[in-house]
Amino acid sequence: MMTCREFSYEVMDYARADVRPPAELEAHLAVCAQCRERWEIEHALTNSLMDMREAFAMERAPGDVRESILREFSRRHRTLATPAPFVKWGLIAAMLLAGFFSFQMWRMRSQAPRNADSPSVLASDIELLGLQDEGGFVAIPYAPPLAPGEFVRVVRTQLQPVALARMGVDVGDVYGDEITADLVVGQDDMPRAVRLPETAVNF
Amino acid sequence: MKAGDKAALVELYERREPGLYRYALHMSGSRVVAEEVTHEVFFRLIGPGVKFDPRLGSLEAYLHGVARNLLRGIARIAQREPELTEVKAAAEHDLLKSLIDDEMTAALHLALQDLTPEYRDAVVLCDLEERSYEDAAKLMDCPIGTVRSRLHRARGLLASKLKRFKTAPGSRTVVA
Repeated sequence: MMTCREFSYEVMDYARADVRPPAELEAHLAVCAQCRERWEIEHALTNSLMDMREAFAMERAPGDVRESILREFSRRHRTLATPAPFVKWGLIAAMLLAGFFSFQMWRMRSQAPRNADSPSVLASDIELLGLQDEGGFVAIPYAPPLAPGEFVRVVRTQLQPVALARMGVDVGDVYGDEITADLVVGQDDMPRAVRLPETAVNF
Repeated sequence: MKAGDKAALVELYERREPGLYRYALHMSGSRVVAEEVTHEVFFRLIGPGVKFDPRLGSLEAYLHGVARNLLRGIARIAQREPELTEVKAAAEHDLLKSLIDDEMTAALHLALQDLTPEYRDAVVLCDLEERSYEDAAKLMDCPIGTVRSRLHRARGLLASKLKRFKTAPGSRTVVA
């Protein structure tokens, strides 16, 4: 059996929905004056609230509130779309710098030696580094000249005496089939200078 | 809208502004405050520091939450500065005069303003904005049972105020 307090919630819900209460509640309302009064008050309250709802139904914020918000929205997005002149030029300068450094990085990478194990020097540095005098390299006749700034690398390899002879190094008949030699190779993989390690021959 | 789509903002405004404005109007009893709150809610929504997170709740609940906080702030200021309360009372008078013809409904409007914000919230959302208990619970950020219980208590208080009104001398309206 429900108490009056529990019924009061039912009374509120049925009065708000403006529907006939279920039999159990109707039976209670018939015998409980307090709940009957609440039922009537709830009905009256629901009607008054409905009147109030209708009175306010068409209420809206004035048009200038809407205009102000839309104006502010446009202003903010215009500001974002078109940055101030100093910001614009700053962005352009930053992009140019980034482009310049990217290009430099790419250039350095593309000119890097392919064989990481081999020492590499600039062709123009061959003389400065004393490769010709102290390194014992002999320029290969008729080899194409190196481009300014071109990287070279020193590659140790095995060559036939005939190949060495073509490079201007005559080793005679005292050696076997292949001889260890160091080659200075340009970026086009063409040899520019040659030497025989001390263990191989003195010439 | 974040990408600057004005049409999206217009659509959102048209959909949400009426309910939000009426909510602020019922809660504050003042057109001036309702306008200010509506303006501020949308202003914050388009501002750079908007804190709306769809994972935490609906946009409508977020907008109501902002409005509720603004109304609380305004109420606190009104408590500290009584002259503002007088301005509010004058606004209330204008509002009633222009909108409500029926004496009983006018009394109800005044009685609603006397309720605590939590009880008023329940009546405004459930009875004046016709929200279900579930919707109101989402907007009020509380359980459904709390909404029902607050509404029950609020209606009881309104009923007792109206009962006093109908028995007061000079009152022409009779409650059934």
